[in-house]
Amino acid sequence: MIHLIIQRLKNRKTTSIFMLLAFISLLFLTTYGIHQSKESELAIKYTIEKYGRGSYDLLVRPENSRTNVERTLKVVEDNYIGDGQGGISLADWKDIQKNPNVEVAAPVASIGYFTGQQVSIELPKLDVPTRIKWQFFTSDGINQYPVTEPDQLVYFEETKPGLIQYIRDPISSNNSIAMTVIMPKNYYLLAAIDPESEEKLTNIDFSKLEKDPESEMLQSILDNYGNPPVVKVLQRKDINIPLFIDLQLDTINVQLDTYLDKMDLTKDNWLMEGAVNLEQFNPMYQELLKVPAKNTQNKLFNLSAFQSPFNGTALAITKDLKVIENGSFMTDHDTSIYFTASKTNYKNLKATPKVSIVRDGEPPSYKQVEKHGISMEESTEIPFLIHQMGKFEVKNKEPQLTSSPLGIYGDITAEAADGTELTATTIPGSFIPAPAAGVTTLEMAELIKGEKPIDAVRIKVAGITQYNKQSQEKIDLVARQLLEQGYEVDIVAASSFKKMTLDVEGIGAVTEDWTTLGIAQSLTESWNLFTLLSTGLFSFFGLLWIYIRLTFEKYVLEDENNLLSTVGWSNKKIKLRNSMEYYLLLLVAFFVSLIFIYFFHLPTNSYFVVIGLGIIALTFITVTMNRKLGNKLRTEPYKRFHSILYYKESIIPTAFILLISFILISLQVAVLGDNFAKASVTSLGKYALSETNGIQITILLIVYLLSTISISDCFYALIRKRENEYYMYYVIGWSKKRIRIHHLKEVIIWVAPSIILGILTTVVILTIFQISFLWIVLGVLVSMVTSLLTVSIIIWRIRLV
Amino acid sequence: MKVRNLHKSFENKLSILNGIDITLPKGSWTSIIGPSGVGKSTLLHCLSGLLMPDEGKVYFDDVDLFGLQEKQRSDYRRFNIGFIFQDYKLLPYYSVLDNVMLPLMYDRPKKELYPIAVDLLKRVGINENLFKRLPNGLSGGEKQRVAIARALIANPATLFCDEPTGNLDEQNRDRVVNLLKSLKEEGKRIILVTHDLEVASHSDQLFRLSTGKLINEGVLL
Repeated sequence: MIHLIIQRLKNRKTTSIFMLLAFISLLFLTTYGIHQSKESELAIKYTIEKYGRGSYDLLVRPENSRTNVERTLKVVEDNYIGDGQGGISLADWKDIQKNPNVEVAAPVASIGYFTGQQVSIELPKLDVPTRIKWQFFTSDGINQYPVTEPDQLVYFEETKPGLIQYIRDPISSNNSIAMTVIMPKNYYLLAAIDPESEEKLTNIDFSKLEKDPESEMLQSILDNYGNPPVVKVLQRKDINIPLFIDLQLDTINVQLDTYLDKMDLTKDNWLMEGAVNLEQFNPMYQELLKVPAKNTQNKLFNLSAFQSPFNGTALAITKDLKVIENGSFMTDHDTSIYFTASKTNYKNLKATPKVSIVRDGEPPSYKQVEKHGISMEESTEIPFLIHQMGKFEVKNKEPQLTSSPLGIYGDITAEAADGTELTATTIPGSFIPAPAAGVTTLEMAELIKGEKPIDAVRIKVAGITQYNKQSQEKIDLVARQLLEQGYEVDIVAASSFKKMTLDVEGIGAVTEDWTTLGIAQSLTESWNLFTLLSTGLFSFFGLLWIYIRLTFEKYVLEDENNLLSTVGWSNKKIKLRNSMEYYLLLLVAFFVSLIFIYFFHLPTNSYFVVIGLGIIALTFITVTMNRKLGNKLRTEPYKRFHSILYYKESIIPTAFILLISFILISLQVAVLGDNFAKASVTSLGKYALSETNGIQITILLIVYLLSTISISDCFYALIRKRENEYYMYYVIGWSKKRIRIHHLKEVIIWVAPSIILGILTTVVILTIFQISFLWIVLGVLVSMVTSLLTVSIIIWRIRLV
Repeated sequence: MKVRNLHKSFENKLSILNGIDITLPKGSWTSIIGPSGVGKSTLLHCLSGLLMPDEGKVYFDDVDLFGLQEKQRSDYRRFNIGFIFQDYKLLPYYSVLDNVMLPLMYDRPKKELYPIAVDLLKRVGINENLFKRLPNGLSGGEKQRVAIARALIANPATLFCDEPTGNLDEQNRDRVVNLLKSLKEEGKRIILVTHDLEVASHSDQLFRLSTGKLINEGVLL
């Protein structure tokens, strides 16, 4: 009998090869597909465990502190610590700190927009008398806005070192002496922290804040202004302010002696001494302003690289018009004025959030800004004095996968539609949620902001080493405890950045990094669904396919069985012969699959999956081949679809295979695509995707391969079963083309319902799993194209006659 | 119908037809006999244009059958040649009537073919109550007569019969033979391959196919 079986296998080479491929596909490709789906899930899990934990786990805020945009869009802009109204006292914070499940409780209080001491810039001293006009500007990246009024002077020469001969308006000459001009004030966000807990959270050394300032000049100022408290500030090292000076240099043909004479002065006198007699001085000054320029130069100098919030570098513009650092300079210590601002009011949250100008101006303000404090110019009793204690540097500036909402160190990038990088201006009111440019102590926050200055406490839960289910439960426990105390609590572990597009009045579309909450959980959930679908469908498809294929084969074998029965074979012997043929093919496929598993380095459990599938296939073969077929001798014709109904035993399994293939491909494409789309909006998701790209593509290829092989196999077997029929068409004079078209029409009649049913099933399943409509459509389209293309190629390529 | 120097071999080794020359007039019955496997069916397939010979020509009147394109040859076969097989080659899912109309179903509307098919079935002696049955419900003799009706649907000038009585009992064999005789008398050219000398005895010409050549055996009396 073995000889007979081998002969039959040899004589039906194509069918045998297809069946062997079918078994290998079932055993190996299904196992490989299941393994790859698991791998994909593991890669995601690993990514989340490794990168899912941000710098803290819980964000605790006062009750009702959630903004409208946060409630609606479930996202927050980075660095939105700014402009907080407080609500948590230092005592509350200390209570939170006492919780044994809390490893770190780092408070943060936004105090407002402050300025530090200002330094000067020296104007260029050319070799010839020059009329110099200047004005300071700031910029938001696109537009430039003047921050001082235009000013001017006429420079003659430096007759001896230190004696600079110039004339300028004596009334407007505040903030400048001779050619040295104090740079305009700039206001940047100051936040208060607890140096110790903040260091635990960020690994940044803030200990300089705890030292006492040692400066004679500071002491002298304090003495003169009623010994106000000193707000010690650590300035962020890497933040610069956008500051420009626009210079116009007109060389003019005038002589110093002429003007000294006009004011009865000698060369040993300072020309500005003449200003004591304004009646004589002003006409001369006006005359100088009108002297025609021999030569005019305009130049805009970018001073940003030298200027920082709370401190700056004194500069000089050389006569060859270069900006250099200057050791000799003036300072302005008037730092006791500050501003607070409202939170940005985002509108149109259902579509692109819109930010409107609140107050027109140069630059315009996007927030309600309020001025506080008393200037040194107004009083000798000032409320405080800002003093810079040093600088701190934010480490780990490489792109992070997870973010920390309310982190005060985020390097926010805001881009206009043309890619221009936008920056906060030196004036408070910018729509850009800039990071804190300086930090001070909570005591100072209490002093300036009141008794409940803290806007948020960032908590790191104790005893967590990686972000997994256990850690999630632990975080949940602490969150519940804090909720019971009346705080707003957010679990921010595994939050991730997300690009947001805003419509900013006066600028247009602006893209910013915002932060989503709880991305890890949704990533895991979507990948769990993907794995469930992949694993379930792979197994289901593989088993159903083999069952259908064997049922189909049983009908194909019917004629042979009748023949064998006619020549005297017993039914038992015929069944054994049929089964043996498939046992043999299964055995070969089993060993081939084991070899593949070995070479593909699949884990040990894959061997068990193959063995399990092998046993199921063996059972199917035994059951199917021993099943009795119904008597299909029919004498009455069908009213329609004659051939389809007549061959329904063969066509229905083929249609089923097509249906299952269709569903499998469309589900895979839609779920994968939807996962990609949902995950890729966040940086953690993007990273997870990049880790699993190869696996996803492999799974799709396996699905496509399985589907193509199975559909081809069934079509081929169906056509072979009817080859005599096609030859008869040829004999009676039908051309090969006509036979093919006739066959195609018939195929369309049963392929179309399979595909329609496939579409309906897919849409229902995907809708239940809340896959986006776009990806449902794309999944169905891809599957439809794949199925129709495969069917068309088979029908067109296979030899009917 | 003229056949000139027809050669056919398979896989360039086994020579089946080795220079066949034969003339087959209209209204004649030509029988070809020979042992199994000698190439009788191959000859029939070559003569009808189903199988391309390696060499040689087949002319129907002035038409060089193998000078035609594949589609033209199919068209020619459909309208000028009828086929009758030992295993009837009826489509199991079409009714008797549909099987008869099948060759021309893409050429003429069904209402036009229907009366012709009914006439043909009546002529070959099929009971009217069998017209709408599937071939499964017919006896072997009935199936063969349906196959003859199908072969005649386009009123072809030539009928190729490959062992048409091979599966039939004596009574049914005689009915088929009588039918073929009447068709010959109507002017149709009958070319028949058979083992059965009794059937062959009704032919006008009798050839034996041996070693790829046709040997004229005259007429059996």
